[in-house]
This record gives sequence, C-alpha cells and structure tokens, in this order.
Amino acid sequence: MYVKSLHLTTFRNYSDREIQPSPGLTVLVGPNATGKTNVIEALQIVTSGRSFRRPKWNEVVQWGADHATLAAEISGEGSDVRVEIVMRSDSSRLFRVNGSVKRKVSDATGILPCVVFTPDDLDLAKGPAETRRSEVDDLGEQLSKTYGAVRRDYSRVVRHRNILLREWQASDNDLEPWDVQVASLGSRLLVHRRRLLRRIAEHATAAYKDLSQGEGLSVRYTDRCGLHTSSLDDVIEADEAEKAILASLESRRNDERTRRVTLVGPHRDEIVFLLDGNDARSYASQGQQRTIALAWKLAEVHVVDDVVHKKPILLLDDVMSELDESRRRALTGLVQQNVQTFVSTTDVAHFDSNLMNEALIIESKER
Amino acid sequence: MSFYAAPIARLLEELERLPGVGPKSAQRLAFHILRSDEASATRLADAIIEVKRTIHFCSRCFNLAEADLCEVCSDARRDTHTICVVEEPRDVVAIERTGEFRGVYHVLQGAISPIDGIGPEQLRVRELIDRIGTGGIEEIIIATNPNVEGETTALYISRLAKPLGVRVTRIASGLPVGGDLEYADEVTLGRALEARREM
Ligand SMILES: [Zn+2]
Repeated sequence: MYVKSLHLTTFRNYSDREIQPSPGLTVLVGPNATGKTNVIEALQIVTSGRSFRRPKWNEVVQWGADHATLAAEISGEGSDVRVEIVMRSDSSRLFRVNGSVKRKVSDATGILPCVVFTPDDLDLAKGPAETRRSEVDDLGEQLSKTYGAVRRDYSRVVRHRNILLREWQASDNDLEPWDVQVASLGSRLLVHRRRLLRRIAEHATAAYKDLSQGEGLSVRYTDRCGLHTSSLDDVIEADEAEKAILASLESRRNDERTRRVTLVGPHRDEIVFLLDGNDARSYASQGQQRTIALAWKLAEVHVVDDVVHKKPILLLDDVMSELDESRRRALTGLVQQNVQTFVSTTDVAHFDSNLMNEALIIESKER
Repeated sequence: MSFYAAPIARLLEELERLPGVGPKSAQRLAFHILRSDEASATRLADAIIEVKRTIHFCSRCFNLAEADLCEVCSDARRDTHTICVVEEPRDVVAIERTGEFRGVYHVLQGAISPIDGIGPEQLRVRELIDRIGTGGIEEIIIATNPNVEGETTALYISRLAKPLGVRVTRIASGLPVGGDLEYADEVTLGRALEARREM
C-alpha cells in the first residue's frame, strides 16, 4: 500500500496543492520555512490522525479560511481508498472514508500506518519517560483500535481523578469508582503496551547491533502498578495487573492525597534503555543516543509489518543532516523493501546519487 | 467592540451562548432571522417561550413533562418495580423507541465528570436513592452512556443502591466504545437491555 496522491487545501501555508508522490522515495527539498515539514505533517495526520507538532486543530487552518482539508488517495490491494480529514476553525474535525462520514478518528486512520522520524525523536533515549511511553502508545493506536480506545479512556480517567485529588476534597466514596476504572483500563493498557514494547525491543536490539559494533541494547520496563517487575520477559495477565493496581491504590491513598495526583498506574511506568547493562540516560554518548533512536524507528517499521502485515509509510523530517552516511543508508535502504519513504531536507548533498536518480524530487521555493 | 446595531449585537450575544454555536454560526443564524419575514420570526420566538412555560421536569423521574408527572410515570400500565437509570431525557426517547422496556425511568441529568465540575451532588442521584428507599423497587437497570463518565456513574450508583437490597444491573455494552446512547441503533439498544449483567 502507498499514498498515490495528497491534496492540501488551506492547510498551513498551502492554499491548494496536490502532490503525486513516488511509490518509492520522494524528497522534498527547499530552504527552511517553505512548508516541507507541513507536507510531512499532512501525511502523518491523514494516515494516523496525529501530528508530531501536537497543534490545536484550528492552528493548521490557513488564516482567513474556516477549515483546512487533507485528502489522500491510498492505493490498496485491489481497490483505492480515499481518506479525507477536515480541521475546522473551532478545532473540531470531520473524517470521511470513500466519501462517507466517520464519527471517530479511529474509523478513518490506521488504514495505512506511518512511522515518523523528526529531530525531536533524537531525544528518545534521554528525554522524559513520557516520550518513550507515547512513542509506544502512538504506534499501538495505529495498529489496534482497542489499544487506542483503552489508551484514550484511561488517560481521561486519570485526568478526572487528578481533578478530584487536586481541586475537590474527594471522599473515599467519590474516589472508589475512579479507582475501579484506573485498575480495569490501566491493567489493559499495561498488557497492550508491554506486549507491543517487547516486539519493538526485539527488533531494536537487532537493528542496534547491525548499526554499531559492540554494545548491546536492551530495554527495561519498570511498572508503577504494584507488580514490581522490570523485565519484559515476565508474562503479566490483565486480571493480575488489575488486582495489583487496586491494592497499590489502596496502600498509596495517603501519598496520593498529600501529593494530590494519581501516582499508581501505567501513566507513571518507566521505559529505560540500557547499553551493555548501563542506563542510556546517563551513559550513552550523543552518537549512541542517535543510534538508539534510529534503531527504534527501524524496529517500528518491522513491527508494523509483523503485526498488521502492511508496510508503513516512512516520514523523515529533516533528520538526514543529523545522521552520518551509514545511518542515513539504513533509513533510505527501506525503500528497497517497498517502504514508501518521504524525506524533507534543505540539502540534497546528504543523499547518495544512485538513490536520487530513482527519487521523485519536489522543490519548495522561498515565498 | 461591535460594529452592529445594538439589537443585532444582543441577538448575536444570545445565540453565541447556545451550545455548539460559535461566532460564525451565530452570524449565519442572526442574518437568516433578519432576512425572514416577521411571522416566522414570531413563530420561533413563541416556540422558545412556550417550551419554557409548558415543559418542565417530572417530579418523580426528572424526565421532560408537561404535567407534574411525565407520560411514563402517569401511565398505570408501566411496571413500577423496575427503574431504568439514564443520563438525559433524549436517552428515554431512545429506549422507548426500542419498545423493549415496560418499566419506569430515572433521569440523572448528566453523568459524573470532575473535568466539567460535575459530581454526584450536581445530579439527581440523591433522589434516585430516596425513590429506592420508599420501597417497592426490585431492579435498577443502569443505562448510562458506555463511556468513561457513564461507567463511573454506574459504578457509583451501584455502590449506593446494592446495600438497599435491590438488584442492580448494567446494560450490555455491545455499544461502540466511547459511544453515546443517543447514537446506538434501536436493535443494538434493544439487545443491550436484554443482555444486561449484574453489577
Ligand atoms: Zn416521570
């Protein structure tokens, strides 16, 4: 599957623009602030419903217009699918698949998964735990509607419960139904996340080994659900996790009341990368951190293929200049494995000329 | 500051208070009203005033009612041993349409939602417990929406109602995840009532 065409209407700096990408490599070249990244973002939104820039949806609407539209023609096995996402100036969104309106984002996305790599992702190993949790959950949401629904509902439960703890003098009676929900949704999120993380970690370890000589990458998952585990090899069932969360909520109730925030549950779990057993947050050099991020993205591409038997599209925003030649080749090499790839760059010098001969090059100019 | 004459500015301001109406839709509505003839404007104004004067909440179940009791509560053929608990009056309409339910209702007027500043005290929960307390109730079917807030409300009510010796059930959630009762089709909702589970 691949994106055959993308139409942007009053989306950021594009009033009306149609792009017909290559099924292989498409390179968007141009100086900064010419809208290359907007195309990468548009491709992410129309395939996954999310944007790595995390805008409010009214921010993508061109000034003076009351909505922005992204329409993609996705070539599938046999028939084509047309996905349309309208973002309105009141921040609401509308989704259409082959012309029929869908009420939920999950009904219009995930048809063609995507993997995005931006300069921010180079902090994956060293950034806050939240970055690594979202990295896994964002992929999970694209691969399974249940994963997405559980994640969305769980984070809403935590928001409600935090308001109860922070702003209301919540009684045990008030908290109890929310505890039940933290445990039932949280345990399911934990199981989904650990299962997916284990698969990504396996591929990432192999990819890291190929890219570097020597050190071994491993991944630790330390729960804050009362399970006292940090190995992804431990098999944890949802009902076991549910009981552990409930017990933990009870024993930490006083802590939670003092600190006025939900301290128990998978929204606090830690994902840690280790290089030869050393915590990468303090131990890894800048080069090693970049290699971890790269190995992780390569792993995501393989996991998508493993789980839903589709090749995702790969979106690389301005990361080529941050990587050395062998690492760049590891990324663009996926084109040969039928992964439709989009690259934005200020300078084509970062690419090997054989590759450029085959690529579709789209130049964006100074406005 | 407003560039409109005072009466138009006032109309815009009132329209913008309505849920789901932003400045742009308010303008569209206001100019539609301005262009229409006086008779249709009067019909709209009268309809608004009439609904406020004649419709209020049923004193027993808090459904919409024209008299002291709503149509369901004043129907002697309804089975008063079973109460179906819903969030909004429109949910009563959705369940009535299935033709599967012969009991009576209790309309909570919302669901527990701390994000929106809504706790049990802002809902008709106390009144439900009082109704159960007066006796004669055998089963409470909780049909709040199958989303996070509806589920929490169901859990909260079940903890209060069970010690009073009534059977508490929850409609099956064959409904879409995160969905509203309002959007559930009639067949699904009918089946959801039938396949309810003990809480
Ligand atoms: Zn009534």
